[in-house]
This record gives sequence, structure tokens and C-alpha cells, in this order.
Amino acid sequence: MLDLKNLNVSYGKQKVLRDVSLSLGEREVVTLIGSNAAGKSTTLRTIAGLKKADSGTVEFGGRDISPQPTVDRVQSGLVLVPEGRQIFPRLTVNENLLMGAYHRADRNDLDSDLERIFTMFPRLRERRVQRAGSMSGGEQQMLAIGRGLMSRPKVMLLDEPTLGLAPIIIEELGSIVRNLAREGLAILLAEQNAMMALGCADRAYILQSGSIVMSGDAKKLSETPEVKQMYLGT
Amino acid sequence: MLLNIKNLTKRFGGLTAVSNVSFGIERGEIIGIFGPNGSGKTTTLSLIAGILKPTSGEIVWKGEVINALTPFEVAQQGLVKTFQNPQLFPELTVAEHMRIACHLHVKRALGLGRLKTLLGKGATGDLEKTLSKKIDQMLELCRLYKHRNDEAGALSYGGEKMLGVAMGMVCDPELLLLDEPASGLGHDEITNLDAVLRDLKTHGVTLCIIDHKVGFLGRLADRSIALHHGAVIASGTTAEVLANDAVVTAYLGKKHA
Repeated sequence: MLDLKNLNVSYGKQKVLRDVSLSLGEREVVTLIGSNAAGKSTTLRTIAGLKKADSGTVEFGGRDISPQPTVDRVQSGLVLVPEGRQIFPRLTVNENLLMGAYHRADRNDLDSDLERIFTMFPRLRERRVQRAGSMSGGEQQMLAIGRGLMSRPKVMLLDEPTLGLAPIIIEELGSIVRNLAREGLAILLAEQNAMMALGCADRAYILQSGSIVMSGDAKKLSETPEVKQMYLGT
Repeated sequence: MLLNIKNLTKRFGGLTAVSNVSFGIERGEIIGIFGPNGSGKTTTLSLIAGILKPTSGEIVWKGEVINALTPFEVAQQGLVKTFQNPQLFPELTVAEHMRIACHLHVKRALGLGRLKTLLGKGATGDLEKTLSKKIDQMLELCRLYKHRNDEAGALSYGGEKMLGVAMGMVCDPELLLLDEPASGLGHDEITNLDAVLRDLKTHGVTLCIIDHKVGFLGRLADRSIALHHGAVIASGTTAEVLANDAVVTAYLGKKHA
């Protein structure tokens, strides 16, 4: 579905990603774990076309999309749910969701897509006419995911969705991610909360100072001493 | 009692964000505030810091009701709040941020004409020495001394949050209110934060902390309260609060039970 090959990315003189290669299959949940400044967000931003790579390629559905602007990537089914949610605080929940469909050519099924999202997140239905900025952090995260879904993606890039959320919401988020994959979405989840991420992912990559240092089955990785010590705090 | 919150209520239109909340903080304690997103934690701290005005109830600081004070006056009283995301100036250095946070000291000493002093261009003599020493000490304490000449834009997220704490601390608070200091931090950064906050406590600062990192705050806080829909649903030692059935149901989820 998604293939990164030898991606090198820098900000000014500072190299942020070094030779990063990773893949994401259909209906797969893959997590990218690392501490702050490891390069997780940069990886997702590069995939989304918000940041240009120095070298390497991003392939989506077998095609090199490196030259494509973000708009085209969204239209072909690749969507980013950004870190910190970045919802439109002064728009209502409904309006935020519709913004997610802004670039869609087919406007016919908007109502049924909204309905699907309200079924998935009943809290959003209750609050559909409320201003998004007045909702709690957990609700805003649901909204950001819902807005992403409105673009009808095949691949969703989720950047640190657990940030600032209560334990019980983090738990719920884990099952939401699993459900989305079951319904056919492929998800690349960048997380610092390794406990949550390894709990819901099929496979994992561990990013340190811009390089992938470990990868493999999520469950197996969570049992290795290095991961336990560095990311699980045990 | 250093701070006594009595029947604090805050309504926004039809929404009651904080509902009849009462609790006290003794000098030298670390108090934890837990609760789901939207339960009124940040609103409570903002009420205490004077950023929001209560609909009803009293905030009693060292025996005086301080409801009517502006945030600036509250800070002058020794009650300082940090923010979830410190709003920094990316092109100013760490030390320059600390100088800005020192404006209370400079104002006391100089009155008008303090702006030049803030940016280190006018102050001479004793004030300059006192300020520099104070800033260095605080940066040392917050493990930021080696970054003092770095631009804030170059700091890691953990460094930014630590700078927020350091800026709060340099105001000489008696009570520091910390809003999610650990959110977004990695394992090592949280270990560092934990050590810094324990140091602050030994320096005599009273702390009131909101955080969702239950492992971190659970170890740190002497006592805690838990909020849900704006009301206190549990209070006591932190262990008691985290074992409370209502807290598990509303906040922690079954994995923590």
C-alpha cells in the first residue's frame, strides 16, 4: 500500500531522517515509535507531502508519489491526522467534518459518510452543532479522526493521537484504530505512548535520531528488553 | 492552610465547567488533580490563577479572598500557573525568556524604564548581578543551563516545557500550578521532570499538578483530587484516589483496575 524507500530529510543543515525505509500493507496497523525529535512527525509529514525529501521515494499503491502535492495525495486516498489535532475551533463539529471532504470530487454521499462517522463516534453526533473548540481533548481527537475519514482515505497517517488524553480515552482510541483497520483502512500510527501503540499495531518500527533501529512484529518487539526499558518504562 | 478553595463554581452559559469544588493545599505539599478530558481541571487552575472569574465560591490565599484579583496581581501574591503549551518566542534565547519572566522583580526594583533592563541592555550593578544569578540558578535546577544561549525554537518539546516551568519558578512562587507538565514528554524527559519537581519541593515550593501520566503523577503527588463533570468525585492520598471505583470507571479504565 505504502512504501518508503531510503528517505533522507533535513531541516536546513540538520538531518532529520536518515535512510528511512518502511512499508504498510492493506488493512494493516503499523506503528512508528520514538521519543521527541526522533523524526516521527517528519516521516508522516513527508509521506503527506508537507515536507520535501532530499532523497528517497514515497510509493503509494505502487506509484512513486514524491513529486505530487499534498492535495493530490489526499484525493488519491492518503490522509494525515496531524499532531495536536488542528481542528477548526470556531467551526462546528459538522462543519469540521465537511472540511475533511473539501477536496472530494463526489459530493453525493456526504450525508451517509457523516452518518457513518456519527455511528462510530456517538459523542460527535450529540455535539454536531457545537463549536469544536469548546469540546474536550478526547472529543477533539475523535473529530480530527472523523474529519480525516471524510476524505475517504485508504491510508490514514495518525500523528500522536494520545497526546494529552486521559487513560480511559487512550484505551478507547486503541480499539477505534483496530476497528478502522477491520473496516479496511491501513493505518500508520506515530506514537510516543509505546504501550498503547504496540498494543494495537500489527507491526512496529522504532525510530531513534532519524534512523530506524528496530522493526518487526509489535507483540514481539514489546517483549524485548531494549523496548521495555526505553519506551515502556519497566 | 496555604490555599483554600471553597465551593468553587464556574458556568459558561448553560455549561457548568466547575461545580461546587472544595479542597485545600498545605504548604510544602504536592497535590495532584486527575480527571477525564473536559472534567474541569484546567478551568479550576485558571480560576485559582485569576485568568477566569468564578461564578460563585471563594479562593482563599493565606487567609485572604483573592477572587477579584487580576492574573498579574495573583502572580505577585506568589501564586503562579504554567500552561499546557508554553508560548515561547522562537528567536529569543532561553536566558532571554527567563529575563522576561523576571519582570516582577525588575518592576519592584525599578518601576518604569524596566524594558531596557529586561533585555539586558540597561541594567547595571546589583540588580543585573542578582537577576543573572537567579536565572542561572533556576536554569541549573531545571537542567537547562547548558541551553541558556540556545534559541527557544531549537529546544526539544521537553526542553520547551521545562523552560515553561523555569519561567514560572523564576517568579518566586510559593505555589506553582502546573498544567500537564508531562504530556507529550518521553520516558527520559519524564524522569528528568520528576527529579526537577522533587528538587523544587525540597526548595520549599508547594506544587499543584494536573497530568494524565498516572505513573508519573501517582508517584509524585502526596494527595490528590479527581474531577468528573466539574465535580470532585474522590479525594485523599493519591493511592486512595487512584484506587477509587468512580475514578477507575470515569478516568482510568479497566486496564488500570
